[in-house]
Amino acid sequence: MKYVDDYRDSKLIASLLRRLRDLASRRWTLMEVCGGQTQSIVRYGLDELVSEQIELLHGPGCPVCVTPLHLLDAACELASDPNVLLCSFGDMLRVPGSSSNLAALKSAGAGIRVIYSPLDAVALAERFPTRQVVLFAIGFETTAPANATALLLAHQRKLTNFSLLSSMVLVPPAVAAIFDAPHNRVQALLGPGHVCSVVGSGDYERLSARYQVPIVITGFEPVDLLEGMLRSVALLETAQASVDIQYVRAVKAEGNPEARRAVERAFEVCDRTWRGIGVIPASGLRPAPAFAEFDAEKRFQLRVLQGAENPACISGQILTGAKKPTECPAFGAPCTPEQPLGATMVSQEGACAAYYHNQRKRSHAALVANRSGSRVSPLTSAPETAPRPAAPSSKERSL
Amino acid sequence: MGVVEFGAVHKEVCLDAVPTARIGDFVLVHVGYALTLLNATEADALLALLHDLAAEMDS
Repeated sequence: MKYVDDYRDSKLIASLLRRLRDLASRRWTLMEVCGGQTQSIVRYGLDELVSEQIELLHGPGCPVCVTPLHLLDAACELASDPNVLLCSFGDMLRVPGSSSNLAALKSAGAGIRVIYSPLDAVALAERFPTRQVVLFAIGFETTAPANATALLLAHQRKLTNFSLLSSMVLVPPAVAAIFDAPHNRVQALLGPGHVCSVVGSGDYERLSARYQVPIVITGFEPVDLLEGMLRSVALLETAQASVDIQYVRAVKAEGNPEARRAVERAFEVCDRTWRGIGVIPASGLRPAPAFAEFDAEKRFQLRVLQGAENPACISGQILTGAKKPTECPAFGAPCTPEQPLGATMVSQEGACAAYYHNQRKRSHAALVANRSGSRVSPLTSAPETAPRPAAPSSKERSL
Repeated sequence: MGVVEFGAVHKEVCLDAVPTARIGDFVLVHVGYALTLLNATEADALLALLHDLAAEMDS
C-alpha cells in the first residue's frame, strides 16, 4: 500500500541505522508513547537493532491496557443486563476484570457486540430500539473524534437508547506524570503521530519546554520510527529541548480543527483512573454536561466497584516504562495471551503481548542488558536462562 | 461518509473531519473515521531526501 510499503524499505532502514551509529556519542534513553509504535518496534526488532545507541522504554499508550478495572467491571455488569447491548472493540474482550471478562460473558450469552467503529454502535441502536446500546468508549485523542461523532449523531437522531461508558484518556497528562516521577529516566520522547494528527503539536511544545525534553512526533512504520529516533538523538547530542515533527505526511502543527471541534463539543475533560497507574488529574474525557443523558455512568447509576488486580501482574511498571515485559517473573509462564494476568498481555498494542507474539524470551532481555558497549552477538546463541513460553499458534499471529 | 480503499478492502468511512477530501486522495483512517488527509507533497519530499542520504552514504 502506498505510504506504507515505502516506509518499510530495507535500504532506508540500513542507511538510518548507519547514520544513528555515526551520530550517537553515547547510549540515550527514549520512550515511545504509543502502543502502535511499541507493536511496530518489537515486531521489526528495532529496539534490538539500535540497542547500542538507544534504550527504548515503552510508554502508556495502549488504550485497552489503561482502561481502569472498575470501568471494565462496570462494562461486565452492564453486559449482564438482558436489556443492554454492549458494544466494544475486540481486543477489550479478553482483558481480565476482577471476576470475569467480556469474552466469557459473551460465550455465556450476554449481549456483547464487537464493533469496528463507534459509528457501528449508533447503527445498532437504531436497529434494536428496545435495547439500551452502550458504547464502551475507550481510546486516546485518536479515537475521541469517532466517539464524539457517534454521540453527536445519536443526539441528532434523537436516540434515547444510546449511551457511552467512557474510558477515554489523554496523552499529555500521562507523559507529565511519567516526567514527574522521581526515578524518571526518559531523555527524549517519540511523540504519538496519530494523536498529533488530531490535536497538533501545541501540547507537546509545552511539555518539551516545561521538562526540557526533546520530543519528535513520529509515525509508525520502521523508517518513521528509526528516523524519529535519529532526530531525537540529533536533538539530544546538541542539547536542544524542542519539538520536531517526523510524521509530516499526517501531522500539522495545528492538528485537525474539524476533529478537535467535534471532541470539544461532545466531551469535557475529567480526572481519570489509569489501570496500573492510578488517578491522573484532568487526563480523561466524558460526555459534556449538555450531553449528560448519553453518559452511561449516569444513565445506569453505576456503582464504583472496587475490584482487585492479580498481585502477580506488574502492568503499572510496564506502562510507565519502569520495567520491560521480560523482567516480569510471570511473563510467558503463567502469563500468556491465552491466560493473561493483566491487560498488557492481551491487547496487540500492549508491550507484553507484543514481546510474546514476537517470540521475545527473557534470555534475550538479559543478553541485550549485558552487551551494552560490545558488538551484537547472534541471538540464536543466547543461553537459555528461562523456560521458553509456548510458541503462539499461527492463528494468533495472524490476528 | 465515503468509501476508502485499503489495498483490496473497501470500507465506508466517516469523512466529516476531512471536508476537502476528493476522490483519489489518501486519508489516515482510525476506527472507521478519517483523521486527516495525507500530505503527498511532504511524504514524497521526505522519502526523496531519505533516499538521497542513503545513496550518498553508499557512494
